[in-house]
Amino acid sequence: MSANRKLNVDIDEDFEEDVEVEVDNYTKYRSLCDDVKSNILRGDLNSAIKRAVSENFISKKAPSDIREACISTVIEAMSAVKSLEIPTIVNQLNSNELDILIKFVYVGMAQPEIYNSSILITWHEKIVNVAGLGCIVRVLTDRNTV
Amino acid sequence: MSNTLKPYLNAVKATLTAALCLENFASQLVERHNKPEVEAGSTKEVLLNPVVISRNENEKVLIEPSINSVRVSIKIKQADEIEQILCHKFTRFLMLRAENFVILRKKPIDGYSISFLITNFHTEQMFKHKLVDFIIQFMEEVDKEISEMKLSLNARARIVAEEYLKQFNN
Repeated sequence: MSANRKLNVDIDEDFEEDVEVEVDNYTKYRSLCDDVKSNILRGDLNSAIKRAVSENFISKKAPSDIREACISTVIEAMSAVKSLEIPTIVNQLNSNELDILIKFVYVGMAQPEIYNSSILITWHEKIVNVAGLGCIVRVLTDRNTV
Repeated sequence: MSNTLKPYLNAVKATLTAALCLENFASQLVERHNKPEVEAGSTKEVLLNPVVISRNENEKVLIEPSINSVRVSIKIKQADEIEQILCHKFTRFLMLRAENFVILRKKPIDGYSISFLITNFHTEQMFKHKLVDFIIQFMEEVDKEISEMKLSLNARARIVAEEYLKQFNN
């Protein structure tokens, strides 16, 4: 009976649970990396970006090497696109894909030693022109971070 | 490199405008208390994802939003040792007078030169777009101030050295 007295009622238990990620999702991410890389090599950057944002990322439980590989692949795809072509690619994506893309932009800018920030800033500007401030708010509030 | 300054500031401006959507939120742990949640950090559900906007390794802005407050930390470009000293002295001068500044934080976050803390009370009293413009203007001006200080420092040092060494000129 005394266990009830020690119960902490202030903790929001639903919030503390981590998001469950099934193990076979890792193959999904690896195939995504391979697809994007092959598209970059072929020069088809339009479909590279489209493939890169097609999977919804829940990377909290993914091992860090897979996460790093995915992030670097996607940012490699973004860096390969010339500045003048970015608006055309951005116009073809729908709002969910733009949300995922701008999440990658912010993750890339968090590590300026590894990734080139100036191209990411250009992407950020073009995405916000199309998607507005709402996509930034969704980056700040979404618990499913990249 | 300077052609990335305008897009960098625009990115910071957009992110800051999005993050500065604050509302009053009393503390969930202590009744009748109202704390900036990003500083208290005790209940995780009111904290939002922190975000970094960087221009290169030496210049970046960290924005940590929450439901009733936003912490903006700026890393000022310090190219050499003399700029490091000037930047440190300049930011210390400002932070000692943080109360008059209202939104300035007395200690910067680790890894950054200066930090601002903006709460919902500030956004209620002041215009949000003017707060954002202030921070952007601060980022532009502080670089100019530090290079100006460095130039006048070098000029003064040169004059002093000239005068001193004149006595040996014979």
